[in-house]
Amino acid sequence: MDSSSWLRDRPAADRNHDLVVALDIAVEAARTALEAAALVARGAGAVGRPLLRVALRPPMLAPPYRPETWLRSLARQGGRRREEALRSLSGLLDALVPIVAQEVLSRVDLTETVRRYVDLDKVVADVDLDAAVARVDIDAIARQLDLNAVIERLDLNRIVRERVDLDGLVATVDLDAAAARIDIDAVLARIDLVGIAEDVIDQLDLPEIIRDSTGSMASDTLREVRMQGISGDEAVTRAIDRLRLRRSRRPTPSAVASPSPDGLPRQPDPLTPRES
Amino acid sequence: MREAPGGVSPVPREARPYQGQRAGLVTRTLAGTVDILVVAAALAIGYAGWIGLRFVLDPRGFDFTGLRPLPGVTWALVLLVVYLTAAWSVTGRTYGGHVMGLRLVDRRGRHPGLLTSSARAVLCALFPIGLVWCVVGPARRSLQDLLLRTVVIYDWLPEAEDGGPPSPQDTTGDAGRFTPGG
Repeated sequence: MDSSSWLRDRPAADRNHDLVVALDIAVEAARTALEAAALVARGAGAVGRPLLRVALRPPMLAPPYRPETWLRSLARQGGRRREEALRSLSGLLDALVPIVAQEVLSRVDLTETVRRYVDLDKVVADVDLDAAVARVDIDAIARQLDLNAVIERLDLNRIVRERVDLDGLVATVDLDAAAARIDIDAVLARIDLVGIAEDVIDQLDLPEIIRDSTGSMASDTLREVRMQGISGDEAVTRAIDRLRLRRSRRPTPSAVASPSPDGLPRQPDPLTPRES
Repeated sequence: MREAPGGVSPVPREARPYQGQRAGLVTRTLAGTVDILVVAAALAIGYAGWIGLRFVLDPRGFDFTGLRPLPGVTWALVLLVVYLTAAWSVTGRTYGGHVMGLRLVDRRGRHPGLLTSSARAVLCALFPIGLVWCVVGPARRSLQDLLLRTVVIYDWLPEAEDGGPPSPQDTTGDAGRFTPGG
């Protein structure tokens, strides 16, 4: 078994633990090396700084030929290279970052992540909502609202009944002044007072009441006599009508004399009521 | 039915359907009887007044004599004609008509004129039996009514403001309501 197969066969947790241990060792070693280098550099700097100064700026050489001049030129060229590299890297990032971000975000449930890791209440608490609302054009928003539809959905009667102190409200109203402005004549002009009075009087039979309260025995007697006279007229008329009807329906002699199928004269049926 | 000026009829409810209808024999006979009694009373009072006046003017020569038949009947007929003419031409009803709630109107539905009233009074005084024709004939009209085109209707209201009869309504049958000109 080689080392790679041994590593593959180990559990993943053990492998991760070993990698972390190796990383820690490397970090510590690097830190120690850097400290040692810094210590050496500080010691060497104190000793070699004058020598370095002489080496870079030898007195016998003209400034254009000194190493310092050459190094500065080299630094300028390096700076330009660095700037070019930064520009190239920026362009590359401009092209790559959106693609990478899109791919990353498409694989991450950002909403769930924010909900889990972000304290939204705390964020909102830090927001100056008053300033934010002050910047909102509420009038423009209100103009776009369909207030009629909103009102239709409201039970205004219930709201007023439960939330408005109608008694207190009415108590503040000067009803006398309001009543003084009512054109009662116009109101009465729209009412058929005569018709109403006639209906009431007709229902009460006011003439009968007046007769009962003020009438005398003579008026009652007179009314009775008149009604009796009318009844007499009707009776006479009915009697005359019956007489005419009987005469008009009186059978002719030929009909009376016509024999029945059995050859005998016809007799009236006693069960048949006579015409009256 | 004609109503009082205020729009309320003083006529009893049970009598309202008959207002404006043509009166029949019984009512008119009773009204005529009352009128005859009125004339008889007036004649008696007049005769008593005449006797009293004669006694006052000539007490010594006063001689009570009974009313002779012919002048009495003549005076009665004259008084009856005058009474009927005045009553019909002025109010459309006699006292008998007032008692029985009757009114006489002409073909236009108004009080008959003096000429019509006088002619009808003469006919009624001379031929009272013509009243019976209101039973036999159509539309409850007596012979006097047929000749003079008058009608006797039920009208319990005291007096029409315009002198007219109750509002005209359709006439159906012999006992139908009065219509002007019908």
